[in-house]
Amino acid sequence: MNMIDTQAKRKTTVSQDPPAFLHVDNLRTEITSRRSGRVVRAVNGVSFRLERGRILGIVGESGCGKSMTAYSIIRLLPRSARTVGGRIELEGVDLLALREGEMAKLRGTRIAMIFQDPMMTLDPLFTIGDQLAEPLRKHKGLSGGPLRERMLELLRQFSISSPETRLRQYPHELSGGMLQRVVGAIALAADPELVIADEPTTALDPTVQAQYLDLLDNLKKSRDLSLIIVTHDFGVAARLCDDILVMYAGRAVEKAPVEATFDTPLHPYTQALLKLVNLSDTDGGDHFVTIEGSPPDLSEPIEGCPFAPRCPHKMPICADEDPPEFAVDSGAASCWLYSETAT
Amino acid sequence: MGSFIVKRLFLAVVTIVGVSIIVFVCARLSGDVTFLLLPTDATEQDIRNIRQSLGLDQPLWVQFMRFVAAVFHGDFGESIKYQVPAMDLVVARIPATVQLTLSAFFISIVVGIPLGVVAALRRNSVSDWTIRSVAVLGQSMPNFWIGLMLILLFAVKLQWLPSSGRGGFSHLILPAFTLALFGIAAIMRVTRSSLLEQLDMDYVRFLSSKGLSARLILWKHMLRNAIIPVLALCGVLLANLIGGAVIIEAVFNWPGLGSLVVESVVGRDYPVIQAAVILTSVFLILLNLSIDVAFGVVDPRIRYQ
Repeated sequence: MNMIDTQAKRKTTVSQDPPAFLHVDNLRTEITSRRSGRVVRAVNGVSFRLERGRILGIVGESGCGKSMTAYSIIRLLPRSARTVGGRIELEGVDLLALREGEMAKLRGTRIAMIFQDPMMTLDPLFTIGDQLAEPLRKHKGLSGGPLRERMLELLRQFSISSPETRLRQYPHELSGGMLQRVVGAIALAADPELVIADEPTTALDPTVQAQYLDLLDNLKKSRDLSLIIVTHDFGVAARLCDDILVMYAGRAVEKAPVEATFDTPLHPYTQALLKLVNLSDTDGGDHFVTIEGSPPDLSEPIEGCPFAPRCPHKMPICADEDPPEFAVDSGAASCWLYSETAT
Repeated sequence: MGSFIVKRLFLAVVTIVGVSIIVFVCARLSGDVTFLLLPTDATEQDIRNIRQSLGLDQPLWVQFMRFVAAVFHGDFGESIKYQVPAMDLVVARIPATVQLTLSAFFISIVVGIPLGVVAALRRNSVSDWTIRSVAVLGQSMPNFWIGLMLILLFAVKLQWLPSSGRGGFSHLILPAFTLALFGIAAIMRVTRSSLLEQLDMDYVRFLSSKGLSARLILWKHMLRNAIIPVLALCGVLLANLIGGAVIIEAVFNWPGLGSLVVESVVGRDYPVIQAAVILTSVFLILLNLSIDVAFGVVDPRIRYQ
């Protein structure tokens, strides 16, 4: 009963707002284990909005559903997963209602994706040039000289050295950092407006990471891109993002502008995460710290707040009722601490 | 690519030397040829004479060195039984065996790969289930039995095809298809699983995220990646087919190398065994070499190693 109330409340708050560039509403995605047939509710009622030219960071521990949220938006889930509910509106068009053929037309031209491991992202059997030419041929109708010109221009935009040579090279001949730039150039070749990046810098060296983040930031400004960055790294989020969405156990537990998230984190989970980041920063990062307890099993029904068993501010109501989203200052948190009446 | 082929050629020579030593020693382990050549009342002197004339009185290593020296002059010795050059006997049989095994290999690929693709694309459908069931049957039933059943059906009952011997194209169909059954099943299964493996790979999702059509992704990218394990299987399959040909040649009375080798082993005709085995391994090594080259053509990572 309470679950339904909560969802209804979320829906009404959302529909009062003006239309957003991207509006994800009550998204639910499930993974069915091929062996046991168990259903894991990987994304469980996530809602958020993203405006044009802004960067949203989705942060959380591994297994919290942040990558599944990203793949749900571009509808490229693994075979074992499927979206079972909610709406994903891109400028008012519900992507989940589109036929696969219509969705395919949006990929590359309006929504693009950058993956975690650049070594795995490109087809090892084809040259960089071949793979960069594909979206340009298909979406821009380029061929011959103009195609080559455009490819070189794109590679230069992504600060890739000796672009003429790169076109002839195969993915295994390039370094990870260089490859991730190439992946970026391919993803942005057909001028998409929304780019989803799943842990784009995790597989890169620290120095290369920083360069790549700067590159993304510059591109965002020069092309008026909207970006969704999925990361477990608060450093990446702080450096690049305008807004932060914190996920826990398949839910969005906190949404706020980036400064607010770091200065005054609302949700006890966010507070705990940031404490960990600060701790490992002060002692040089060689000290491994974790939040006590472990995230809940998402294939079992969860009663109350999913973070309650690990929460230092736990109240009686937390074990019984799932908290709705409460607006606090510039952000929002799904936590009973922000209810006027809860005990 | 050039140095890659040179390296493979060098390895091929090493392999052939190894094969020669093994076949030379093994052939002599099978027993003494003299007892098969002489009447039961032969004297000690007769035995000594014939051993001397065949060079069998020398130590094994001397025999081997003589053999190697002769081989470098293109001389594999004379058949003990027929008293003609062993290589002439072998060469006369080679076209039949090559025709049979290569036809079976070709059928395996041309039928196996499309079936595997269909099974993967329609996974868990009736066609997938049917193809996989037939494949399991094809791999688990002994091929000489399948051969006999096919003879019974197509040669005896329907009388569409000849039951044995070598002649026109119609003679080739039954033995080649029987020999190919195992290969079809093996290639189909590897193609299916390898193609399914590609589906969840990041590179395929990235291609989709570029907005490319599913058809282009399948035919241009996934199939080429999926074919690499199939190529690896082809090398093993070829050796398998040549071994299997020995049996199939017997079933269909196909005048190939297989029946000659069986006859020579029984008759302890060392020179013929040696010539046949060494020539077969050269044939196999050359085929494997071409598979390695095909690997290099498909996969740039191998080309540059």
